[in-house]
Amino acid sequence: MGVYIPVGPQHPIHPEAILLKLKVEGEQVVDADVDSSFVHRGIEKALEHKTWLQGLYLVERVCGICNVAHSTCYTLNVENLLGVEAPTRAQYLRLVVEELARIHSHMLWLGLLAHLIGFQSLFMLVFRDREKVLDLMEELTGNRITTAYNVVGGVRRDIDPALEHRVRSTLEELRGRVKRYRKLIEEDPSVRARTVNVGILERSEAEELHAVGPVARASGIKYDVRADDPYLVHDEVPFNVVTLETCDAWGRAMVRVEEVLESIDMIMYSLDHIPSGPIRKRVPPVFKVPPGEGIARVEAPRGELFHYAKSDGSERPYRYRMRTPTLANLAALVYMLRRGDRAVYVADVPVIFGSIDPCICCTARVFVLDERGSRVLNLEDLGRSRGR
Amino acid sequence: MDEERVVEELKARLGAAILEVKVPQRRRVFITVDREHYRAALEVLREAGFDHLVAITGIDTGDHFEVIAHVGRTLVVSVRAVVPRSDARIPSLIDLYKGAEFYERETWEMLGIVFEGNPRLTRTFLPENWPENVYPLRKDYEGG
Amino acid sequence: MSCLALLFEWLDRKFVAKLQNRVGPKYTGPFGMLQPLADLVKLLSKEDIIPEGTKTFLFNICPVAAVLLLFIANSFVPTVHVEGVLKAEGDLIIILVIITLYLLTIYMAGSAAPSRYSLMGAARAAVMLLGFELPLMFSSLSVGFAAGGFELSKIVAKQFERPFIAGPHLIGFAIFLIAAQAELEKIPFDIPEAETEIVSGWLVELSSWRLAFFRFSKDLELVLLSGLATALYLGGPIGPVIPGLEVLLYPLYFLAKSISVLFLLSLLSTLFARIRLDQFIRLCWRYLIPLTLAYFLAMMWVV
Repeated sequence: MGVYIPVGPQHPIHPEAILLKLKVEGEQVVDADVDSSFVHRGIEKALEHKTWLQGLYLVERVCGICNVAHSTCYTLNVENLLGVEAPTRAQYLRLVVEELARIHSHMLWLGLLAHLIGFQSLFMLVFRDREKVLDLMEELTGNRITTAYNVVGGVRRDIDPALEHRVRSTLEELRGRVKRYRKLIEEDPSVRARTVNVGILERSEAEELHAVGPVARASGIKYDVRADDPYLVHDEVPFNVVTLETCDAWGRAMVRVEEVLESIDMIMYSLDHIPSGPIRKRVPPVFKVPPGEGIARVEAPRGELFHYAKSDGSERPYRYRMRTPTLANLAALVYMLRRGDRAVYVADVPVIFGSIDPCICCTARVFVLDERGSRVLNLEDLGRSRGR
Repeated sequence: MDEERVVEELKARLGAAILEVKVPQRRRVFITVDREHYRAALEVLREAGFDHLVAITGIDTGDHFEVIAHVGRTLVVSVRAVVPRSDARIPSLIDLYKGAEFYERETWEMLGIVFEGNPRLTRTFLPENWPENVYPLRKDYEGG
Repeated sequence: MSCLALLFEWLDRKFVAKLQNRVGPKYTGPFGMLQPLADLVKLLSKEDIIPEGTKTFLFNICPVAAVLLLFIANSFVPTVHVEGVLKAEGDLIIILVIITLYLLTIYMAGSAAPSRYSLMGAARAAVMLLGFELPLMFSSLSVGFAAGGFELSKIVAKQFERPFIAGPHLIGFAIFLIAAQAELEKIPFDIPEAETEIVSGWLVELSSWRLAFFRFSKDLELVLLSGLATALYLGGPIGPVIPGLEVLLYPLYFLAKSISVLFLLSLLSTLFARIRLDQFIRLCWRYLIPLTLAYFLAMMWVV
């Protein structure tokens, strides 16, 4: 016996459309499944119809929060196929922006966690601090969220000493705030009551289900693409891969908060050691990419991001495949919800769901149906129907 | 383990089953096998410590399909298997790599390649009113 | 009394906003004071939706009953004088009964709607009752025993020299506040509403005037509980007065005291995260109820 409770596609847990089908007995969850078909946008297919350059801007729009990771991954892939390497200064700048994006993503997540467990005060405070990071982002790249900072061959804007100073002072201030949040998560009894031993994912299980990012690291797997497969100047900038053995939602929160502190250190170090020089190698706007294939991986805030590109020698990709971190963690999520050996309460569902930092628009990328449901539109059609 | 040693190991274990080996970048190895040796190649890799399945990619090359399984943490080995269009089937990896479930489901939905042995080849990424037997990532599908 | 209810909601919202580094209501009326009223009017003008399969009678009667019950209960609370507007033998007990009845209306309204969320919210509200009702009752009744009667006027009159809170009743006051927090469904005890879990729980299917009535009844309850705490522990509206000016000063004293209680309740709600239902029950039965009983027995002993 049990009652099915739909969580989603519209639910305050998450602003994006996903449906968790929960089977509930009393206050306990006994079964779960996921349906993420609501926001498929057809990006992988659409990329096959765009030139390599247009693709960059489409890729950035896979996801708002991790757009930096996507565009870094894409440019690395294309540069590799072209045989171009971005100048060192550009690589440092990419790293700075990537880590800023990580800070703002993790703080967004921390605020959402607070909201999910009903801790409204923490939610408000964290979001206020996150604004400062977004302001820095705007000054550095020109945009708050969708930065459009990376281009094939380098980056679009340089950093000047005045801005560098502002970045330093803001981050210094932020470091103090984040340390207070860390203390709060460590000690506050009500936060601990809601997250400790919730959403258990043992190390062996995380390995088996190929969990990535903070989910894997909170289960004790020392896996971080930045360390294992450095793609920017990660071998020059020192950082620690934060791991914990608690295997629960609390551990995932702590890993993320610690990573914010690590990111601040990385940015400071990069600003100290950034070499002077050009920030961009010019590449013509329409270019042909030599035939071949390549893989690029980036440690996005949510975990390992994977892009595969195949070129047939024309100016458009032949096939472009993206595997986002949330897709990799989906198996772990479903497993955590339906595991039989530990009680999962309805009140735990938002915490478990939130603890993988789900990003549904990343996960679902493929198609749009029109209202009659009979004809299928891809992005080009949509653009045409808007009269472009 | 570096690229050369992985290639050597694979060649020693699989011999003539490997049709092609490419190392286009550092830490990237692409090998091509026929469909019958797809699982065998991954079993060898799994034993050699490649326990992390990064993704499964499906490609429509026009005259046949390709399924690529990417495994590994530091070094990514991509095992490519060629699947004929007329008989789009390939064994599932779900008992080797438990997390393959969603990747195989996605490839099945987008390209119509059946992964034999995956118990849950059901809709999860495409809308429920999507027409049957229409696979959007095939090259002959042009959205309309 | 209605004005007081709306004023209290405004104060609550403004105070919490200040604590959370926000602004709070701002535009309607001076300092946004009319915002609660504006919200109420807006809700009243909304489309009235009754979902299919609702038990309509219960669904309609509960909001009205909730507001009426709380109006009656509020009339017993002494505000401008040692006595309330209404007065009866043992009116403290009447108020406690009404509070329980009010929870019954919540439960019935929640279970009258066909939604699973609202059903779960109602069930959670009922389970929570098991946890906080005993502490609420016994902490109030102990004061009655100490004062030698269950009339609020008598209890207030007893505190002419010094309010009870200055004495051993501090524990009782703390217990009462915690139970009141749960009764009001404020964080950390907003379990039956839990927006991120069950989409505001028992409230989910209510719309238009029903929602307006229930929201208004929550404000009335806020007044009732802070007023009751004032009467029981802080000496109600009495305080040092210049003879002849009681009529003017008593209401001011009452306001000052009950608003302090309100601020304590608001403060509690900003300090914590929402706890889980099972954790709440464990908290109540492991710590709160034994403490209440000890306090109650101690009061009996003294008397």
